[in-house]
Amino acid sequence: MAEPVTLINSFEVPSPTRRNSFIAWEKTRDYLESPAWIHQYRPLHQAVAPNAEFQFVNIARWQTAEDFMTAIQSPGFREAAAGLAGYRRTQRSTGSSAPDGPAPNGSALEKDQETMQTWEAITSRRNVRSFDGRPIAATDLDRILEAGRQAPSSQNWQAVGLHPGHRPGDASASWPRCGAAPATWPGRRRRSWSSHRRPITSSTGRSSISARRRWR
Amino acid sequence: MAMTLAAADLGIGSCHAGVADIQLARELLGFPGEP
Repeated sequence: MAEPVTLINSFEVPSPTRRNSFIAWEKTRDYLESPAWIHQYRPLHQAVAPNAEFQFVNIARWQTAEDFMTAIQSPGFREAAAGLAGYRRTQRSTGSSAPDGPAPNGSALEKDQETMQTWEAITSRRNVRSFDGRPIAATDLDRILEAGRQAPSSQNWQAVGLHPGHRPGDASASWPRCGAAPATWPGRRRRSWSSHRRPITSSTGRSSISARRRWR
Repeated sequence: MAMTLAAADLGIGSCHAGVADIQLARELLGFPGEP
């Protein structure tokens, strides 16, 4: 017989977006409560300390893990939870037999949840064309640029990110793996790579992205 | 797309953009010209 499962979601929410995240959470909760999927949905808990790692913790008890998977794979959930997709979260599950402990690593439910987070990110991302002008933290920029550098590309034509204050030639110091041709390449290719490896900097001091010239 | 997903993960809005006029893009972004 299937056991009830309790899911605990901890959300990392930047201060300026707390209000929006709360609204997004309410929308998700309203959707999940409507078809009576949830056996018991407890209130959202907010951290007392403003600098706590997780600002919101959500606890939901489901009749079965299958009910949970059916709910989060429904089109209505994806639409309702789209506003929560941008926030980092940690999810843990507990069964009725071990109410205080996390689900074992690698459990089927945990794998499904990891897969769902990836799918959720793909399906819920939206283009944003209106910006409020707030600067983006350097650490966040680094992470975004690293995602671009890690992306597959034709003939290893990778993007290079340059930060404010960088001078020509600094890129290889900041992006060492981009800055040197692989030692296993033939000499001719290495020379070709080096001759085309010309970082392009922004004279305006803004963060910018450019592509290395193609080597052949 | 990897970068827009990473941005969404951080709660940062983004969109893809393309510029056909390379020279105009250089001027807007302040990139130096070809040597």
